[in-house]
Amino acid sequence: MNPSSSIRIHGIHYTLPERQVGLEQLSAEGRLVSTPETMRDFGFGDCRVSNVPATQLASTTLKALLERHGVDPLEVGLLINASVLPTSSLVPRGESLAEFPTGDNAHLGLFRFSSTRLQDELGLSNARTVGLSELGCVSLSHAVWLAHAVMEMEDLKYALCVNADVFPDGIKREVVYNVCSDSACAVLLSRDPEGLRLKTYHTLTRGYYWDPDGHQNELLAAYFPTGKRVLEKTFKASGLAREEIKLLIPHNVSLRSWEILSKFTGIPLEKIYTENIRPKGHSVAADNWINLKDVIDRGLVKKGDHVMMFSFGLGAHWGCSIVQI
Amino acid sequence: MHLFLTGVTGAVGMEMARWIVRNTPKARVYALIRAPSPVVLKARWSKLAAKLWPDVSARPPEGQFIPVLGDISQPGLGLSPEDAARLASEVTHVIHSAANVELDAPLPEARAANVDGTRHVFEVVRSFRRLERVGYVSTLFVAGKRPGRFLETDAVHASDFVNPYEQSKYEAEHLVRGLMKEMPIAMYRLAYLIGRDDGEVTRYNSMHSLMRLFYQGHVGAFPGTPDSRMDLSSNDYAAAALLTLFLEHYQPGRTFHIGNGDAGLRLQDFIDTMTEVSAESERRWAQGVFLPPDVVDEDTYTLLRRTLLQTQNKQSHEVIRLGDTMYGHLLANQIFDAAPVHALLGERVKPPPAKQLLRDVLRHCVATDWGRNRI
Ligand SMILES: NC(=O)c1ccc[n+]([C@@H]2O[C@H](COP(=O)([O-])OP(=O)(O)OC[C@H]3O[C@@H](n4cnc5c(N)ncnc54)[C@H](OP(=O)(O)O)[C@@H]3O)[C@@H](O)[C@H]2O)c1
Repeated sequence: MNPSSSIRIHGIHYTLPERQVGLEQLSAEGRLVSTPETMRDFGFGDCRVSNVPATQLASTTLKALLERHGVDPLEVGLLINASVLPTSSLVPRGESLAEFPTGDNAHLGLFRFSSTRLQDELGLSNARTVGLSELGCVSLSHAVWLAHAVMEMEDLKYALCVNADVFPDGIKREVVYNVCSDSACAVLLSRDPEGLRLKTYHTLTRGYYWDPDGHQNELLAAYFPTGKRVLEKTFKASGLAREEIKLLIPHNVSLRSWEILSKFTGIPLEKIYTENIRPKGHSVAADNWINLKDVIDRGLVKKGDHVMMFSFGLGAHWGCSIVQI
Repeated sequence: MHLFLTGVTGAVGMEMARWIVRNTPKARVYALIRAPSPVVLKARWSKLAAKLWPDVSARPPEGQFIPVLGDISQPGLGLSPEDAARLASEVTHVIHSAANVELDAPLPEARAANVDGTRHVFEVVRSFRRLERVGYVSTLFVAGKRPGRFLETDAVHASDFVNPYEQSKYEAEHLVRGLMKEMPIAMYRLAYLIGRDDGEVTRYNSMHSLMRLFYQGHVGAFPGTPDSRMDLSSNDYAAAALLTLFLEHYQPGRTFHIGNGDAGLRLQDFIDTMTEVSAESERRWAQGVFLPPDVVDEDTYTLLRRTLLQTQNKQSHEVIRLGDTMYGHLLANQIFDAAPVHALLGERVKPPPAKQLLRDVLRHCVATDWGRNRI
């Protein structure tokens, strides 16, 4: 990334649904694949379940972020709505504004895009909108990276990235041995020098793993060696040594996987922020950014510190960034 | 030499038969083969001969090999009275190679074949009136988890075992050592044999299964250090070395190590060679979709193992099952000293370079889809 870039991460805001569902209940509802004991052993506790659709979670979160930072919606030049689940990027039946199309126009329900509705609802009239999908857990990090790149190219004052995902009723909440929560997280980018600096974003996509069920065996074997290499390449690209990283901020996949990756990479577990896994669960693409906000708010990092954010998205994408506080 | 040979249909036995035909044309071999009837015995022998010497002109002359119906799991080997009498009066040399080499066979099963079977063989051998020499075939892995350099003179240890097979072979060695007072016996401990010098695999074993899972991208990590050794060798070398030692350097009461010694394949070289050869034919290796497994310490492997066992992932479970029967040796950081045998045999009989052997064996496995297709 351009080392003299003036683009900064200006603010982060997230929403976690109030409702918490325990592992036993998830299991009783048939929403786990493994036993609750295994999931507990892997570091999970309750998961957060939203009563409102993803689009609504995104809207509330973006609105709060804009208000908190006193940003005039008309000054936002770009909105990227990054969703993991295809169902999250559409405005579902039952959402206000318009009746859900029926009869000959039923197919138009597939064109009810969240990003454009968010632009309308939040008054982001000057923002170009982008819906980003098919990136799994790296969706929000990819969105921030893209927004950063677009801001470099265009003279934009602000850009917004948001991820909101809500698991549809009835489908499993365990994804490859991880218990998934609903959530939304929004990131505001600006040119205010006080913000956080995205210094490196290294990604690796291995399209062979596009079929997470059919290729799961190989994926499990490749997961840690690939993760290790991505971390090493990120360090190399950043020119930073391990000791210069204050914290590794993971996404909230199983604690066990971080214990193993810590051993594979030699990064001590104490340096990996895993405290949110049990209480918050794995909010798919939002975790890294939720955790980043939490470590800043809790004073675990100070101005000038470097943190590393790592995530892995089914598909399969590995993403690793270094952010300077 | 009138040789009584057990295990002729096995990986080592077949190579010994070939070597004998090439090098000691005057030897007569009584080959113990199990079969439900004399007719099946004959058929098994004919099939074996056709496999060992596809070129008819290279086959041993009629009468050089005499198949003998018998089963080491039975007292008296289940020999007919005529065969028992004939062996007792004619045999001068014995090599006992038959065994159950399945690494994960339950201990009672392994003991039945390898300890009781060996006892049965020696009870019969005791009756041989012209007996001159006995060779007992063992394994370097009787070292179990005993760390460090393992010498020919090392016998008793208090370490645990990596699998029931080697425990049973350790116990069998103990039995055989006890018999050395009354019979002229030498012991030959072999390395892990993975195929012939040209890469052909005649009997597939656990190492080939692990190589297959590696090739298919299912192996994520090995425990140990990059320098942990895998003493892999070829069937031809094992047979040639064993028979040369047996015929030219015989010393009753002595144990010989037949392997690579300090030149044993390093774990990292195993991984690198597997990766390199896999990439020749498998695009996922060539394109970096599959990555070479990492070498991790015991703690890391233990955690990974426990985690994978908590998944519903069949292939991961299979990798772990195989690893459980082998990886203990990587962790024990062992070197099986083979300097005395290398010094005795010099340039005449040398182990094949392990990396090249591994390369050729993997290529053979890929070409035949691990023995499913003929080439
Ligand atoms: N292969 C290795 O990597 C390796 C390494 C170190 C030491 N060794 C030792 O080398 C020797 C030969 O091993 P291998 O690799 O040739 O094994 P193998 O390929 O599995 O062959 C085993 C041989 O033993 C015979 N056998 C098994 N049970 C028998 C019974 N109850 N009665 C009669 N014959 C029986 C088998 O006959 P069937 O054809 O009827 O099954 C076969 O001929 C063994 O003592 C083993 O411990 C082998």
